[in-house]
Amino acid sequence: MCGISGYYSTDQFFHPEDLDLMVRMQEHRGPDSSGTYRDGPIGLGHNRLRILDLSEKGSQPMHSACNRYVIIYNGEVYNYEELGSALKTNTGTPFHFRSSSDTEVILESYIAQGPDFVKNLNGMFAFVIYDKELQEMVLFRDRIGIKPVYYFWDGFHFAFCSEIQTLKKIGKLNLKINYSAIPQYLHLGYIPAPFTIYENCYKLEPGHYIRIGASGFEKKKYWSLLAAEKKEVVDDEPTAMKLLSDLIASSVQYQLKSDVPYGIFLSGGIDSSLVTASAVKLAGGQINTFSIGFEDQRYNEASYAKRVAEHLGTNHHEFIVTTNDAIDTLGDYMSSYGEPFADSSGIPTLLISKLARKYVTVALSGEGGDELFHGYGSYKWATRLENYFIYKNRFLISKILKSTSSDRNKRVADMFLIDNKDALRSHIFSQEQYFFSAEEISGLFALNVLSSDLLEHLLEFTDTTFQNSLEERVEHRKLQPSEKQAMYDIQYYLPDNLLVKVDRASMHHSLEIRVPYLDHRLVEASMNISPRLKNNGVAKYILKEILYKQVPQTYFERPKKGFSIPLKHWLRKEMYFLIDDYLSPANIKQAGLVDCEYVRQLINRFNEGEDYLFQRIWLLINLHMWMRTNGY
Amino acid sequence: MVRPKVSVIIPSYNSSGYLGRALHAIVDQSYDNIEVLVIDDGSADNTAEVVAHFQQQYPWINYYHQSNAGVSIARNNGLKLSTGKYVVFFDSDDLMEFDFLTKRVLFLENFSYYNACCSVVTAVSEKDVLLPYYYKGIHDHPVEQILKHLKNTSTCPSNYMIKSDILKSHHAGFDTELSSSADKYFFIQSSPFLKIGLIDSQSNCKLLYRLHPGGMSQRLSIGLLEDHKEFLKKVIHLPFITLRQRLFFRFKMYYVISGGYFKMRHYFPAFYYALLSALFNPYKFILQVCAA
Repeated sequence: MCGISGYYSTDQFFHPEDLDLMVRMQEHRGPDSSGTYRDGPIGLGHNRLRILDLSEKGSQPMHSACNRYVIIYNGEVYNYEELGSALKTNTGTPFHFRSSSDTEVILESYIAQGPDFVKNLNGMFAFVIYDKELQEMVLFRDRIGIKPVYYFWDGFHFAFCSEIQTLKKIGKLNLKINYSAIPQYLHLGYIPAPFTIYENCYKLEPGHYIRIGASGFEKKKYWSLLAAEKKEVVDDEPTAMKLLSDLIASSVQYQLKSDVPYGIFLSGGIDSSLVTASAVKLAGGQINTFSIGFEDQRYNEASYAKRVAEHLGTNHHEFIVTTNDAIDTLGDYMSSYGEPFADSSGIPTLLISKLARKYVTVALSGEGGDELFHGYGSYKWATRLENYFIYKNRFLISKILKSTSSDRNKRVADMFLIDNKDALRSHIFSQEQYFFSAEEISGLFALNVLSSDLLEHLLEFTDTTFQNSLEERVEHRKLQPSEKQAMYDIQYYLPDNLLVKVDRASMHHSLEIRVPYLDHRLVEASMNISPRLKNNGVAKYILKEILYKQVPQTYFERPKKGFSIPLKHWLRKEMYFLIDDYLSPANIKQAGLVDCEYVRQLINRFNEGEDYLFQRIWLLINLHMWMRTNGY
Repeated sequence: MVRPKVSVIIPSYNSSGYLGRALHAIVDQSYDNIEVLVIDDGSADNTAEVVAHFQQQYPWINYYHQSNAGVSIARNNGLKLSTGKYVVFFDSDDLMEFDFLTKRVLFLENFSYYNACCSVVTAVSEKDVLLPYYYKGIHDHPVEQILKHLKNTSTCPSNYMIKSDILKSHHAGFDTELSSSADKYFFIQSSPFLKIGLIDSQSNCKLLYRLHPGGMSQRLSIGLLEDHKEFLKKVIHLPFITLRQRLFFRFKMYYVISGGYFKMRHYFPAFYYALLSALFNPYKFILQVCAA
């Protein structure tokens, strides 16, 4: 796994030092070696972490056999051996590769087949191929958005990198805060692509590529989740089980390929246990597994992980997180993301990556299982809220719930407070995560730079684009509310939050994380599994059935906790200093983003026992921490 | 690197005073690959002179003259003559902020789903003073937004940058039988292929829309109401308009036409159209009347 960076500009706006700076900024992503290439309008920089082909032949930027093209590449393409052996030269003889790396296969396949070759790749990737003759470059990102790409484009100058902080470091870009992104962050906890916290900086959306050269800038979508949807769903349980377990096995087998030691993150939940079980079956021998737990027994799942590990006979490593460990990690947490980012599970992910890196360079993780097989509560909420009678009486239900004294009912009451049916998806997501609702944001957001119309439009942005993407379907069937909510998550939450968290945390410690559930074949197949098999009262039913054939069911009989940290308790005690510091009236006024009085009331309510507000407070702390760290 | 060319099409009829100010705003843009096509719709004033004055310094401003044929024909002729990748149908009395064109081009490049875009609109007075009225351009669901006559939305064509090949390949243009409703009909008619996005920023890229004193009520005329009727007739015959939309639009337009007749004190047609409106949606009709 690696870091990529570079620029394109015809007026010598960028200097060689800028490229060196970008490469230096991303050194933690690839500490083994680095390289740069400059030619005419472009500069390409690369940091390498050696995973496959450890020799120098695999180093980058890599030139093609014909010497016309150059590639820089971050990621893994798992089917590169098949692609390589299928590649023929002009004379029809098999292509002779100079190295055994996937980089070379990608480059030569692109030359042979053009940009559409990307549809044959199976893996996670972000790469740039530069054509020296046309002075044109193409920048690709994988289908699901596992590997990151950020770019700056103001109509004149183009720069790209793997982490947004790198762009910030280039002083001449003079990045300004994109105030439009802040309400979106407060609503969702992350900033949805293509927006970023800076003006003129964007995330390249998953499944897209950008071509830039003398003829200008062009962005294209090459893969769409919804295009994979079929008219007929697989409704038969044995067929679905066979299909999925074969695909999971194939995906895990692909992803176990590595020339360096590897391990698996095992939380003791369904997703990671199934990955571990499949890996043990396929690889044989002892596999390293890693898990973390908390001192606080209410959040500690480490013992469950241990039991699964013992059953499967893995070489298990465990790490117990104390509050002090978490506080010590806050600095890393802030510096890793470069944007306001409120997923507190980034902290344990950083810690487990640090632990794992002592033993391995590659780790498999279970991300994506919940979205593909309907593990989250928000999918149930989608079904409920789209029920005609519930929707019609939602305000009444909300009032009744609010009048009760239970903390749980109070937060659930917010779920029913939906005014705008066009914004149902983001509302459900936001309220399931206890973030600020659209209504709250119009009271909270202090800046006058946005008219209320535009604010509303921004808060609906993910819903609108999701709705638009439904047009990409080739075959139409009536989607269930839960399916729509899950697809919405796969389009936004997964690439812009979960995978960002995993990539930054692991790369911070120079560890490569692979995500077998997000093999695109598995994602596409899961789209066409009947929702009845995904959740028939039992969440992730089909996945569990596959797992229970390999690990006894008794190991998993407990309420789902997820990978959460005891944040609400920490924020009351050990981490209260964050509230005092970042959410002090003086600091809030200085930042000038949100209404001071509103925040004061929020903190009071939290102090008086409304526990569920901790996420809203965490959002605000992160936002203000980001402001201060970045000197705004 | 060549930035894509933007064609700004400005139909102009006896508005040389405003036209000069609009051209000023265009030559001051942060964007640099522009062609302007002023389509003089048979003006009797010094429009030609004003344009000629600008042409001396800015040869990319073009002037075309046609004998008076109406704004729709002028815009369609402009589209035929344009060579840019993107077009803007700009009205001669509107103004644009500094980054108006740049931000639109960037938006269309970055959001590949969309082939047209618009921004927030703010109103300006006769004397270019900003007025506290905000609108947003119709976007994403233009048909619904237009049919519902949503408040704070604007269909002023000046606001929109559109990929010209999408218009040319669909032979789209402004309907020559309509006048004041031509823009609304244009957006409805092209809604199956025109995907309009709203720009997520309002700094320096707004359209400054000229609000003439007196507003609509002063310009109310039998001609305008006839135009509404024609507009209604055309919309309900479009194949992609659903039955529900058709019924609702009949109710809404009859209500608007009836109101127009009332204000002009033509009570007989006013009652006639009020009755029609009530017939198509009695419940909403009562609500509307009570609200008025």
